[in-house]
Formats: sequence, structure tokens, C-alpha cells
Amino acid sequence: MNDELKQHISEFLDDELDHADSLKLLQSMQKNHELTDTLNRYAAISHLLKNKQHLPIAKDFTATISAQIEQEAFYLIPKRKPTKPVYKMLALAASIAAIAVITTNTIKNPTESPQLAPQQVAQQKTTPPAQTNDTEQYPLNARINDYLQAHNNSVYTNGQADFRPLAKVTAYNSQK
Amino acid sequence: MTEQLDEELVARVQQGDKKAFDYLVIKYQHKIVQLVNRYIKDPSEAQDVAQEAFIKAYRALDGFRGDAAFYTWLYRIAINTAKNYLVARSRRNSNYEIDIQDAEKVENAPQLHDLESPDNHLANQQILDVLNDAINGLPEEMRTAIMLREFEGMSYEEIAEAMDCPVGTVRSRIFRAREAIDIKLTPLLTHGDFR
Repeated sequence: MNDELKQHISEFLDDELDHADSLKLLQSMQKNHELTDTLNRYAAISHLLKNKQHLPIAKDFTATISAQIEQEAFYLIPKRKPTKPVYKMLALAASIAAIAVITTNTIKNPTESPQLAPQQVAQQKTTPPAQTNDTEQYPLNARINDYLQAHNNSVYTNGQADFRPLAKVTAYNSQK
Repeated sequence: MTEQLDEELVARVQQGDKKAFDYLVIKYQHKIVQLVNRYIKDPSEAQDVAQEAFIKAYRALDGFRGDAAFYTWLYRIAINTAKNYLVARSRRNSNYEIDIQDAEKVENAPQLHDLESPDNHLANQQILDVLNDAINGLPEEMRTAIMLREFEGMSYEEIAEAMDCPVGTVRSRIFRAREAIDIKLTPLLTHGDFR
């Protein structure tokens, strides 16, 4: 250990070392325990001069505290702010409202069945539009079933509707 | 200067940097051990209590808002930890009849808690003799510089003014005085260490 470093330790003990050098010294002390021992010996001399009593500090003083703190993992990591329940409620209400609007529209406009099953799309291509009332020929339960089927993922892999994705099938249907 | 460094280190610990707390421990360990030793004379016990105080400080640091200086805050934690230790010990052992009020008085009458063994007392006296010899063997300007610092608590600038020399010279004189004393005391302190 060179004298310059030791002089810095002496100045650090007296709070006479500037900020940047103090930080640098502390970093060195954490890696090199010989430096900490020197600080503790200088501190012991100071205490001895003033109090006529020798008070040594154990070499593992810092390490013991450090080990104990290490066990308290993440104790001081800034806590995450919990999501406000108001936002959760708003999100839930918005979802329910959206579902209600979509369902109502589907029931009220039976002529517009935007998401028919591919089989039905094919049928509509070949069959001319019926002149009679749709709701009589195409009851509500059947339409709901068709709607649910149209949302089944298997529609993409069943080889029907020319492998068109559902969005395209829907667009085709709504243009009609 | 020191408060600015403390503020920086405390902020780092509050952001989860445990290493920064080690720096605070290194910086204040001797002060806290000396403080606790005013209440608890046994050096080994004093260190255990000082360590407990640091751990309590770490746990409470999240709530430290910097209304007071870090050392003032740590000082209070250390004193409370020492007092609680004395109260708990007095409950465990009826031979120690110490309460909070007694603990308050200890600071002004450290000899009342002097539980040192004759061996320790002798070792301490030996250390004091070597210390006196070392101080007497110092060149006049070094001795004056370290005396003004240790006994009068003067800053380096004040010492420089008093001794009519540059601050850099004061820095060097104080360091060299400490180093000369340390060289003479080290063989004794190594053997006298309690751990």
C-alpha cells in the first residue's frame, strides 16, 4: 500500500477528503481489506488518544453485516405500485359493454350475419337469396351456433373456404 | 462534504444497491462501535450491538427521507439499540440492574461500567505507555499537528493557520504522525485483538 493511499485514509478519517476521492477510497476499501484495517487502526489511535482506551474493531465487522443483509434479498428494492382497482373495474365494465353492444347488434340485424361459417358462405354463393323472412328459415339458435362455430379455430385448418382466413370470409360476406 | 457523500450512498441503497450500504458501514463502523462502547464496556458485546444497529438501520433505510443527516439518524438507532440491549440483559441477568435511566447516565460515567478484567487493564496500560512513547518521539511539528486535530478538534485549515503552513503540509504531518504511532502500536494491537 502506498503512502498516498494511506494519507487519503488519514484525511478520510478526519472528513477532510473530497467527495470523489472518498467514494473512490470506499470502493477500494471494499475490495482491499488491508485498507479498511488501516482506517480502523488510525481510528483506534484516535480513540486511544482521546479516551485512553484501546477499542479494536473486528476484521470481519463489515463482512458480517454484509452477509446478513445479503440474506434479506430485495428488501429495499422499490416496491411496485399496485394497479388501482378503479382501472380494473373500468376495464371490466368496458369489456361487458362491448360484448353487450356486439350481441345486441347481431340479434337486431339478422340480415347481417358477418361471421358465418365457411360452409354457409359457400352455400350463399351457390343459392340465390331467399324472398321469405330470414328469421323463419334461419332461427336464432342456429345462428348463434353458426356464430360460435365460425369462431372455432378449426375453421382455419379444415381445408374449407379455400383456406381463407376468417377475416377475409367475413369481409366477403359483408360486401354482399 | 461528508453529508453529500452520505446522501448519495443512501439514495443508492434505497434503489437496491447493497454495496453502497457496505460503504456506509466502513465509513461509520468505528464511530458507532465507539458510541455503543460508552454504554456497553465489553468490546466484543459492543461490536455485536453495533452490528445489530447497522442491520436495523438498513431495514429502516427505506423510510429515511433525509430530514436529518444520515449520521444523526444512525446515531439515534445505535443509542436505542444499546439501551435496549442493556435493558434486555438486565432482565436476563439480575446482577445487572440497569434501566433506560441508568443507561442515560453511563455516557457521563463510563468507569461505572468498566467490567474489564485485570489482564485487559494491564494490556491497555501497556498500549498507553507505548502510545505516549510514540507521541513523545514525534518531531515537534507532527506532534503539534496531531494534538490540535485530536484534542482540539480543529480542521486542517484551522491547523494550517495556527501553524502558519499550507494545508497540504498539515495533511502530510497528521498522516505521518499517525503512521509513526501505528508502526509502534501494531505489534501490541495485533496481540491484544479480542477476535
